[in-house]
Amino acid sequence: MRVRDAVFTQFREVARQQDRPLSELGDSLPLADSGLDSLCLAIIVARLEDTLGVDPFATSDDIPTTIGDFVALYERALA
Amino acid sequence: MSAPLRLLAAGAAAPQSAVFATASAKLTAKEVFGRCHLGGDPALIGNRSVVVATRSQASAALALLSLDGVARRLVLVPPGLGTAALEQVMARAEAEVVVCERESWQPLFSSWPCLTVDPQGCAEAAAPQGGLATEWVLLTSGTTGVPKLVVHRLATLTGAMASRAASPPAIWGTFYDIRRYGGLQAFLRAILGGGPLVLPDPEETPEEFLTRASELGLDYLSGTPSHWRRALMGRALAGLRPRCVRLSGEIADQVLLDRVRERFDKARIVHAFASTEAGVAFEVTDGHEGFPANVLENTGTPVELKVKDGTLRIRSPRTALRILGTDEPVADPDGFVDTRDIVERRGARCYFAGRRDGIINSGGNKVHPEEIEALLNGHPRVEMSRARARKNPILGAIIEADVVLRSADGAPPQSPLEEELLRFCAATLPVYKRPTKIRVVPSLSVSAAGKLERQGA
Repeated sequence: MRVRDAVFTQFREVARQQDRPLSELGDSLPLADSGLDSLCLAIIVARLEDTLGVDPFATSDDIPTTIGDFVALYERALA
Repeated sequence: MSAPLRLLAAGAAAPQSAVFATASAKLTAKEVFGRCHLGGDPALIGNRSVVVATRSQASAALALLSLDGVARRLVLVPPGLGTAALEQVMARAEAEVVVCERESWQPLFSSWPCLTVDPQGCAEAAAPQGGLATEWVLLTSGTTGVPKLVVHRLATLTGAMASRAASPPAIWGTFYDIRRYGGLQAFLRAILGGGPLVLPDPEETPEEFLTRASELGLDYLSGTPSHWRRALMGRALAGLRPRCVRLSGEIADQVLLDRVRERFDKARIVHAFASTEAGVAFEVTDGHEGFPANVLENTGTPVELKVKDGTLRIRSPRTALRILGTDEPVADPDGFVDTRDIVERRGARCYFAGRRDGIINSGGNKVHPEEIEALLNGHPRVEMSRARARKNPILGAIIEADVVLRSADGAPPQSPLEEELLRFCAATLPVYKRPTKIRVVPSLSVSAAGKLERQGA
């Protein structure tokens, strides 16, 4: 739950700062429909590296397509 | 200019006037020019490649005066060069002799004959032998980490200097080390003008140096914009009344020029374009950032400038002759040196946008860190800043920035200020140029060359 909270917090925080409309977050929401562009996702990944201490994209070739995939990637990296 | 530096300088100075003022000693012209300052066998230096690896600037200055016209080549080793780099420099320079102080000798030098330099002087000076056109070799940071050895002669180094000295002679000070191009300019201007040069001692802090310089009354003070930003943070500038302030080596932005103007309302404020390879190209004295575009159309001056592929190119008699130990030419076949500084023309003025080598690629967009820094430096709470790339799996790189707050500012909570600065950037910069994160840091390091440290940034 901690990882999911951290991810959701950053989605909301970055959307607010970048002035982007954010869809309601849920596991099945495709990242492409979240309202965030690639810059927002890039910032989220950097911030999660600062708060959680991992960058799963650096070690994994998995490309997440949904919010659920995205959270799972971090959960696996921290497991 | 054919006479050796020692003769030219001795002719310019009155015997009792000070030539160098360090924290520990003031050396008069009689002491500098009337004595020999190199211990050991002076015959060793004749027509040789000599590496000057002293600890103090005053020792280096005395060595230069003894070597020009006599040695075939003199190599100026700046402070802080590590042993590994120094070893490479000595190999590339085909070193035959080392000059250092007794206390700065190191085991690396044991394969070479060594002459010690002594500011107190050891004997009556012998007349300088020979009139060789000595090669002056300056080191600049190369892109590969190995310093570049850039060859000048006294004539290329002094090309921008007026032939008639000021009367009375001006007192010079510089934040640069005289073993770097900018500092060497101050050294040569001072010594050929017959005026004293105020030099920092190795253990002196910039504040202590400025306080001492104020007491001596400087006429000229030169440094990089980073040197000046750091000096403006402290209180030691308060006692200075220079006639002329010079900035060179980095982009002088409008905010900084205005702050220097505010502090020194009577001084002539000059920002000059110069680099070790290209030499001194031109000076701007109107107090505005950038330079008038008609500088590019200048004909009839010895310095020709043009912009090609976005970067400033310079052809002048002041450019370096060659780079030692490599096939890399200084200039293109037409004689133009590529400064790798990107110039943008807007109307009748040209502006420096940044360094070709410093561009950040963020998601395919090219971003100059200098543009972001210039904007942040204009925020009323920011003293200086650094924008840098952070590796990112989505965009390749994203931009983050570090800021140092002005000294009057207390220690504020991080988040509201970061938000404020992010909004400040968003008001001016397109999305891809905006920093994604801004950290408040206690200080930003400035390299030994006086430039904002970007390595590892």
